[in-house]
Amino acid sequence: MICQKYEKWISDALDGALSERKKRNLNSHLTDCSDCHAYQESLSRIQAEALRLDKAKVSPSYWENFSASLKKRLQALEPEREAPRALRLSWKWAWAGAPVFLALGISLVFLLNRGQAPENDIFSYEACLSRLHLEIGDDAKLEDNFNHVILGSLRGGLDSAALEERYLFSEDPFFWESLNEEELEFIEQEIKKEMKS
Amino acid sequence: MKMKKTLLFLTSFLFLSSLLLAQMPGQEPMGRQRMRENINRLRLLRMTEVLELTEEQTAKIFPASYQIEKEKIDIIKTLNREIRELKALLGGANPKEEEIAAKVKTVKELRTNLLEKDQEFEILLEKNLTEIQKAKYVIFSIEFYRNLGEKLNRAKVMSKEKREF
Repeated sequence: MICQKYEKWISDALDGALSERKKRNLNSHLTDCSDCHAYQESLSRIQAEALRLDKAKVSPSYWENFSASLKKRLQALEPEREAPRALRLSWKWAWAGAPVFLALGISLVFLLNRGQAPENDIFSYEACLSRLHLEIGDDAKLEDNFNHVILGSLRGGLDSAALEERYLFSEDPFFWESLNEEELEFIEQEIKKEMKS
Repeated sequence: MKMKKTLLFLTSFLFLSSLLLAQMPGQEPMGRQRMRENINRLRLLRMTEVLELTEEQTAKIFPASYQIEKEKIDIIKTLNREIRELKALLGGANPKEEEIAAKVKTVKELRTNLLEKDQEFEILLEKNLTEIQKAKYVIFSIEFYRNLGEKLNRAKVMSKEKREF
């Protein structure tokens, strides 16, 4: 694979179409690679021999026909030649784009997960209580104070409701219907105790 | 008028339920459990106000909520015991992997059960609330949970002030 690249460079160098940087790179490779060195020597020999040949006498119309037929052949070969090139290019882009796609994928997963977690948290009563418990930890004083704050709110709410209207809940059929056996029994016991005293 | 009646019904219901719980042998509402109960009472009270629950709705929702909370407390007690046992297993000289795996499985199942109870209450609301009330409940939940956080911050300030004093 590496030598293939240098073989092309050797040909370009003989045509005088190789940059100085590539030339330096090629020369250092030729000192190490005997195959490429041999290839360069054979190409140089062919070029030298070719230069020694007499120029053929060809009519201008021949060159016109030659150019036209060459163009035709090249056009026919174009899709075949373009396909691997396009493939090579697409692989290049794929390699270059892979980290970008990977980063996008990770970000997407992160964002989706981040989007779900708060939603679950926001709407879950038990998750909210767990958070509170975690924050309170083993701090008994904080737990006590928090309980006081909750009780304060609870008392405030209940008092305001009671103050607004004197209402006998015992007269409400829904109240009695909502009680279970255990609760009814307890109320009965309490009433009996009251009556005795 | 109806709203006031409902609130008074809730007041009496919560009062009686707390008395009943206090009287149950071996189930003294202490510390964290008491805190849970108070939070649940406050939640029901605020829910009644915000959602403007009718008497029929409260008659269905409150007893069920109270029952669910009682079941949750039982699950939490078992969960705490299982976690203590798991800690003991891990701290032992030769922890057996099978026993630990079984314990972890139980703990996870209990945690799922707890969350399912939450879901049970949500389903109950789903069945008994109107569409508007359901929408209000979503907003109410977010605000109530945030409000609890604010209350905890207030409690933290109180604790700090007491320590400084």
